[in-house]
Amino acid sequence: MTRIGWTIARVALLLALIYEGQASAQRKVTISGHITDNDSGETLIGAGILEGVSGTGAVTNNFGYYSLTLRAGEYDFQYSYVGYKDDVRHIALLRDTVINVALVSGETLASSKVVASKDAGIQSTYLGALDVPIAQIKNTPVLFGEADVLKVLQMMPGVQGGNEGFSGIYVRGGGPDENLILLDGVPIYNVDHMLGIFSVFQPEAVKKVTLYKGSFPARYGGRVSSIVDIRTNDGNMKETHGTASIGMISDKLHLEGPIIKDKLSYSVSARGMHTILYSPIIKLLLKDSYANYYFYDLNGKVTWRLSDRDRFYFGTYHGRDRFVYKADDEDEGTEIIGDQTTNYKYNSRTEIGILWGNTVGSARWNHIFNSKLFSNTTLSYNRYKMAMSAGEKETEIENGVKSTNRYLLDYRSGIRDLSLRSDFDFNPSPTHLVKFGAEYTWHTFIPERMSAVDREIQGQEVQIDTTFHFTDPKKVHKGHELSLYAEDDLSLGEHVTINPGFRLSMFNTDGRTYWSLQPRVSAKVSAGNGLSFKAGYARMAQYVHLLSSAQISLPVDLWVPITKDIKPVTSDQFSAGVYYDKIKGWEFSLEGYLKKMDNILEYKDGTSMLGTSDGWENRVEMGEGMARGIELLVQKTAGKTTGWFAYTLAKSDRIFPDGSINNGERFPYKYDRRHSIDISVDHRFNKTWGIDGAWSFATGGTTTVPVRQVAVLHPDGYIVDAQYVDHRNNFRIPPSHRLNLGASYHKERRRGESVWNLSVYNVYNQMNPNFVFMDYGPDYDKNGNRIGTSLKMKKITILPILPSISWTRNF
Amino acid sequence: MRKHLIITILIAALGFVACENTIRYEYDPSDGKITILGKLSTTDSKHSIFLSMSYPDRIDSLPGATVECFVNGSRSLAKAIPAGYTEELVNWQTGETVLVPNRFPYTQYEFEANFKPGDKVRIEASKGNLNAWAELTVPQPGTIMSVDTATVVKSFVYQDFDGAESYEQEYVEFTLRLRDVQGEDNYYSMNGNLTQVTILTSVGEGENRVDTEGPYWLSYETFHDMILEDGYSSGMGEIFEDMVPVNSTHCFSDKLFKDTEATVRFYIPSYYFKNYFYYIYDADRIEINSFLRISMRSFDRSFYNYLRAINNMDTYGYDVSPIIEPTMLPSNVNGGKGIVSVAAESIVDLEFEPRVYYRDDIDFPVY
Repeated sequence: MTRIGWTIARVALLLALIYEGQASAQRKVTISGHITDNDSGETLIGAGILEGVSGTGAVTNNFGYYSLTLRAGEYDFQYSYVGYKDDVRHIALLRDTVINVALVSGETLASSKVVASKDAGIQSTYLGALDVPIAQIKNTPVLFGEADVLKVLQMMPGVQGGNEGFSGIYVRGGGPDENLILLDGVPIYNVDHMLGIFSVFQPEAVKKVTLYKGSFPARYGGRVSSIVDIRTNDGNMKETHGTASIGMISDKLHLEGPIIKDKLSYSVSARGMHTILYSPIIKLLLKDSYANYYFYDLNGKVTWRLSDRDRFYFGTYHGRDRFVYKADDEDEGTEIIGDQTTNYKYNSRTEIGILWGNTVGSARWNHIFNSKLFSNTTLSYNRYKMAMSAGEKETEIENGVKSTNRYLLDYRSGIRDLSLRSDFDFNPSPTHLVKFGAEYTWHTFIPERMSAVDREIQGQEVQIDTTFHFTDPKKVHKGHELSLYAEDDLSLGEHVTINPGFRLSMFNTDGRTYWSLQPRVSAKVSAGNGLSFKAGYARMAQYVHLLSSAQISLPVDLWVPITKDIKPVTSDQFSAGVYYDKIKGWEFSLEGYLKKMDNILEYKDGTSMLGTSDGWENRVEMGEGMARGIELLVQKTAGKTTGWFAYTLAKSDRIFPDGSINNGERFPYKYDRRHSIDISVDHRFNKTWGIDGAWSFATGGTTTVPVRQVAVLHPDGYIVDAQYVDHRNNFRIPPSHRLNLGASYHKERRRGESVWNLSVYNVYNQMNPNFVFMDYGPDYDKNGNRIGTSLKMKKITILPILPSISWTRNF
Repeated sequence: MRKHLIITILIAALGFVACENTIRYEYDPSDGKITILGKLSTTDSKHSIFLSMSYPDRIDSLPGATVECFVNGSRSLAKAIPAGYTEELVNWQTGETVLVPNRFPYTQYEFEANFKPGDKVRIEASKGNLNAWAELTVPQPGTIMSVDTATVVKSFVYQDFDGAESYEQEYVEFTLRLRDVQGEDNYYSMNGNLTQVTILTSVGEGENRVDTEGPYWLSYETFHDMILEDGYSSGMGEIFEDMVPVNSTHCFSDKLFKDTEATVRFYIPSYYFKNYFYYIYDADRIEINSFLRISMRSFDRSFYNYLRAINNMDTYGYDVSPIIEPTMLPSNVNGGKGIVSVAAESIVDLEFEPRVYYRDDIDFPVY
């Protein structure tokens, strides 16, 4: 080659390199991967990756996957997660790159600064979205020392507890059925044990709890008031660990570990009331009568990391409450009347049984198409079942002639859902995070099925053998629900993010199809110095209702679908807020909302779960609800002392214009509580000792009491006395407040640790009302003359001061 | 088995650990309101109004009140009917018995007036500074176009192991053709009032004794008549009577036969018409003459709602229960409580063939 030739070649090569360099500098490449816990291999949800110079970042999704697109170049990436040590990596990012990072657990709850838009919290674009750290769920002292997901949620602003001490949640003026509670993405219908004293979720099996109550992400739908997204542990991929716990009410066992290291893992949890084990003893002690109640929960999950691109999850949950009662009675003897002698032998058995609970199964497939597109496909089966039977059998033998009388009442309801769902995360650029997907659910509802058998046999002769069907035994409601959604978390410059989205859903039942287009939008403006503002709007639709007529969660509360006559519930919610997080380890938020609900269902006046033969549809009425409020939340998220202060000012009411409820006049909602204050503090002195305290105050809800005695004219001409009620929910129950305290002692063992937890519920024994009622009785003067009727309002307190102790062994 | 047994047990289970306390509830025991109850009709010229005082803790009668009825502005004044009963109350400490003059917590007032459809009626009651009134317009009557009767035997699907029916009941079936009032929402009730004149003859005494009973209001069965049941269930048998609400007040709306005609059926057990056992020891010959007045009463929406509220109360009780959403009693009385209706009636009077029974032919029940 000539000298000129060499020169041309060198120039060409230089130009090529310059071009290549410019091209690579302008070309966008994506870094993606999973962020896991170093010790267990457990994926971390909401962990962040931050490029410090540009301030660009991303967070992991519900499966620990992240994706961040940048111009090609060399970067220092900071991987971080609350409670973990940061991991900084210098990476020359010239092409799409997969980096899986395992973070090492830190000793204290250090704060983590993630610039990327998270799904929840102050940094999220969404309003009213809160992550509840699982550590705080485990540490917050609650009833009987049983850590409870829903009871900690009750302490969040905008979330009202139902009956004092029970686990129902009422979010921003909505009812208990208006919360979509997802266990690994699968809705759970019955979330209560023991009439609502405990929830069905075992904290040991739970990895992440996120509450949405404001501007809902478009990927969620089906309820109008809140979404509670609960994610469970995948199972330790490295080594086997477990937890055994003995408490006042229940015992728990949790095991997780690898089946094939770093490939296949399992996680199983079991919880059951002691009374399951004591059942034989109870039977022995109570010879003539036997009563027992117990509940249990079983969680299981298998995670299979087939490759970097494909992961499979198989999960199941099965929980039951069961109440049984049996009573035997017998009598034997001789009866002589005149000259007639009768030898008789009589025995009877009364049996009552109630069983209710959920069974859930799911199979999930994560697939990474490329570094920008992630998919999750879920096939799930969900069943809720309630069966109640009450029977009596009497046998009488008189002078050798046997007669039997048998009566059996059977009442049941249930739901079966079969669902297929696909969700996609698409990261086309650092300024976009697009989520889209579709879901189909095949619902089968059996709202109520009630029958009774009455059989009477005297000697050889059958007197009665009748089966009553109060409802059509073959009637089921089928529903087909289809939803499509898309949303984009869009960054408009450095200070503004906006999340527009929509959800289009269709529900077909009884030959009628309902369509609902649900626009969702939320926006966040960062004003600098840790100050930001958000505003949002969300429309939601709901196709199932829970019909409840009592103040506690009862198994006979009916889940019913919409029908051709019962329309879907819809809500329109506007919310806005101001947020501040400049002070390290502290977060402040103040949000306001206005929510209007349409087609909410209530039992008509004077009706309940047992009603007319033409079914529940004729016992309910559709109406409107309005809720508004202001919520203040101050959180300390880092350091040895963590916790929060929450205050809610709220108002919620209902109106049923057709006049079937409260004469068509507006009335306060049952759980309309004007003021709520919750303070939760968790302090770790050292590795050994920690204390926790939680104080709650809430204005009382409302209930209906008679305001006077009145004469009632019956059409047959008789006049009778009755209690006169002027309005529904006409009485404000006194406020309730209580302090719960707990202390935990951790002792390191050769393998794992043991934890003693002492907690006291309602430390100062406040007699908070669970039920109130009007008590009428004769009133006498001091001479014993009746001078009228005394009238007293009485309250029943179920949960006075209750100390408890539990022992947990982690290994 | 009785209603809500299961729920009661569950709540009782909670009650084992519960504490009960009195909480502050302030009420004014002197906060009385006049309650006016009146079920008037276009058929009668003599009407009764029942007044009482409703207090938070009691009901008192209301003697000495002024009750006035205005029909299109014309006034009738009511007079009180003296109490006819006394009640014995026992002092539980001394054992002393005292007589209380009026056991019923209301005072009955009577007045005379004639109403016709379209009339504006105002019932006003006052005493001292208390005043209450109801104003309403007499509705147009629906029409009972025809009535047909038959004796039928109902066999209730009861079957024994051999497939044989084990229980039967004889009824008088009433088939009625009704016509709705045109062009408006109408509310009715179907009523049967039975009067029985029983002629008792005893051998040797020479003369007959005549015993007249009634008229008394009869309850009836409907057996899935969609109009008369008005969305309620048919009776499910005695053991379920307090679990499932039934249309005990016999009210119904015209929503299933609006502006048109309809056929309805109801059933009265036959034993109402051959009630001879009551007289079985009194006479050798018992002749029962039954007169049934079937009336379809037409009234306004507020009284219809009132009757439906009573249906619920008949089933779930007249006291407020913590389990069931309470029944709100509608009222059309201003300044007080209660209900006043003026019904326009369509009436059919039926006279049944006399039923004659001879003592010698009757199988006496053995006790």
